[in-house]
Amino acid sequence: MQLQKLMYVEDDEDIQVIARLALQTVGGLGVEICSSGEEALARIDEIAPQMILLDVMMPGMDGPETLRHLRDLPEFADTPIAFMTAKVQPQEVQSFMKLGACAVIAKPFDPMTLAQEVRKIWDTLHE
Amino acid sequence: MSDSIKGIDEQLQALNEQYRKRLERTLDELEQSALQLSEGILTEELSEPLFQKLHKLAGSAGSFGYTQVSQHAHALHAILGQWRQTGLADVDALQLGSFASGLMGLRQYFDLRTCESSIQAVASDSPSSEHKHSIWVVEDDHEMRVYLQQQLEAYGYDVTPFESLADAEAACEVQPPHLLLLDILFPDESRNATETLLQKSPLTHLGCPLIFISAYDEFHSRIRAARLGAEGYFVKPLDMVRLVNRIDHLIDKQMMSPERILIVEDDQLLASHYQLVLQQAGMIAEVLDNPVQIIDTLSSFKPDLILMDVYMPDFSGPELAGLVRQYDHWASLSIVYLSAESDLTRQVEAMRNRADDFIMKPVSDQQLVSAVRVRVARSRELNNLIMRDSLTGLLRHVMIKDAAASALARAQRYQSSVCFAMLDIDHFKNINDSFGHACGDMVISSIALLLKQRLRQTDIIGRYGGEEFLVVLPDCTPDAAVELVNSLRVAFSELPFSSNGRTFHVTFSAGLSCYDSSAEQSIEVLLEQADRMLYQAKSAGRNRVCINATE
Repeated sequence: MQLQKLMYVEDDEDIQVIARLALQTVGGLGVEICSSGEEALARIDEIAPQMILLDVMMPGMDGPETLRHLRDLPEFADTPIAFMTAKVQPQEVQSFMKLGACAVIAKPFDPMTLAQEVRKIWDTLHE
Repeated sequence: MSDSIKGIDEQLQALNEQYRKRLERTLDELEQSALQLSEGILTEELSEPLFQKLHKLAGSAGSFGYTQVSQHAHALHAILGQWRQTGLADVDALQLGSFASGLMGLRQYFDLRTCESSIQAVASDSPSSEHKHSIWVVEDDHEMRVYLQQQLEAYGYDVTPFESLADAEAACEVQPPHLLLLDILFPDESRNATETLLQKSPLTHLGCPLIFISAYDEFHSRIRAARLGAEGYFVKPLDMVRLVNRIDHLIDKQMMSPERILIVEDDQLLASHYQLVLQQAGMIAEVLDNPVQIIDTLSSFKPDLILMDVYMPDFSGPELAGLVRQYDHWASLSIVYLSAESDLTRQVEAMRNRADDFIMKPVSDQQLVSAVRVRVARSRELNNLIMRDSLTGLLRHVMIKDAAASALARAQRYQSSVCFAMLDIDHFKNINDSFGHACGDMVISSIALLLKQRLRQTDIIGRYGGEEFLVVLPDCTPDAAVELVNSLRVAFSELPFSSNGRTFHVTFSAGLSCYDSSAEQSIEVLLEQADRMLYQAKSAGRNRVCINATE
């Protein structure tokens, strides 16, 4: 199965713009962007993403909390979720993985290779 | 294909421009916070928005090309996070002061990047434009100051002269240079006074390389220079060529492209951890998924170094290293083993199996980054020595011919143009005969420096023969190439040389050929055309540029 549609949850507008360019224009992926965990939960049925990218630190509902809520939705319980974060200490990465994330992507990302990185994570999960 | 890439480039540029403006505002705000902090109090109200801003900056700046801003914001964010946990009241004034200057320092990484990108933008617009790096010269002696400025400008640097340390310090706040050149003894001050002054000066915290000029060549003075972080110490009378060489080297080092690391490790979690750590440090790291594809991955990824686990289930590290070494092309690639192996004899055995080095697990993130960085720097230096001519630092004959051929192949594939310029120093034999070979060498390294300074980063320069040079100019029209080479010719002819008290000038002639995608031409034909044009320039009286009229 090919990855076609993503949901990206991120509060920083600057990153939203460059992520859209990186994933959509450069990578040819469909992307819907949500500005908060709350918005993500409200719109996930309508968006129906194959994979979710989640910023860790957001005001209000943060990344890990959003993930827990997403996991409670039966329809998206198995949708792969990757965290986007500037913190990549081993214990932190491990704790993210324990929460049920499939991968951790380092921020800042390179706009020219982000889509590739995401596809690679997807392909590894679907081998 | 190339159209869509162009579109993306344009969009990226537009986004970067928007971001740059916003970033500038953020930096202003951070400087405001820094001023408040330097008063010695860190309150909760102050720390919260600061923490948020640093977090945003750390996460976004790198994606817009401001890698260093990201890294430093990340470090400051971590420090502040620590303080917020242990209690803001415990932070003393000294800590706050250095944190505040860290905040102020973000601006300089921003400026550096802005400067670089504007250089690139200008350079890609027109090949004749020069990419200039800025140098500050602090020198109290008027004549010396003028001399240094003229000489350095002739090599394409943007020079700002200052008469005193105080003047230079005042300018620090505007925009720091790429390099600082400092005369360390001024007559109206007691001996070493400059060095004492410097200890407290913001000039030593600019983050740019520092070179000292001194009238004295003595141990203690050199030690003090080293303590202040000077990366060069030149004694008067100055050897300009050596000085410019050093400046060049130091600035190149700053502008170095990121290290490319291939990680071969069967433990997925560990592999992606290494990858993240190296990426955070600004490197490009990739994990090899399937050992069977190692050679394909090497060809497509072109790493500077392989980081390899010794024990893996299917193929061991030494086995894979042995396989890599079977290929001529990868015979000199750095391979570093990463393993928990503490037994020295087994380490030695692993090394004998064609790896260069050993890093012991567990390794801290910092150790990993610095170990990898040091090894890449060393291997790049070695590769440089192999590929480049020792006198000029330019590509050797074989290398430049290869590079010319691949530039032509690229132009043919993308239907773009490429020009070849063959340069030859006029009456070089006379220079050698009248002034000696050392002087001839100086002329050759000067022209090499001039070419490196004045050409775009995408241009390729090689020493083709004794006093003959080949320059490859991708994406360059014939008109632009003539204009460019002509400006080089004029600049070179204005460069004064002196030997045994005699001053003289040297010129060169050049022949150009161009490929413009309208006709199929081989590299041999194009180089021969350039050579013929060079011969024509010589016989028409030298010190001129000839180009073959389209046939």
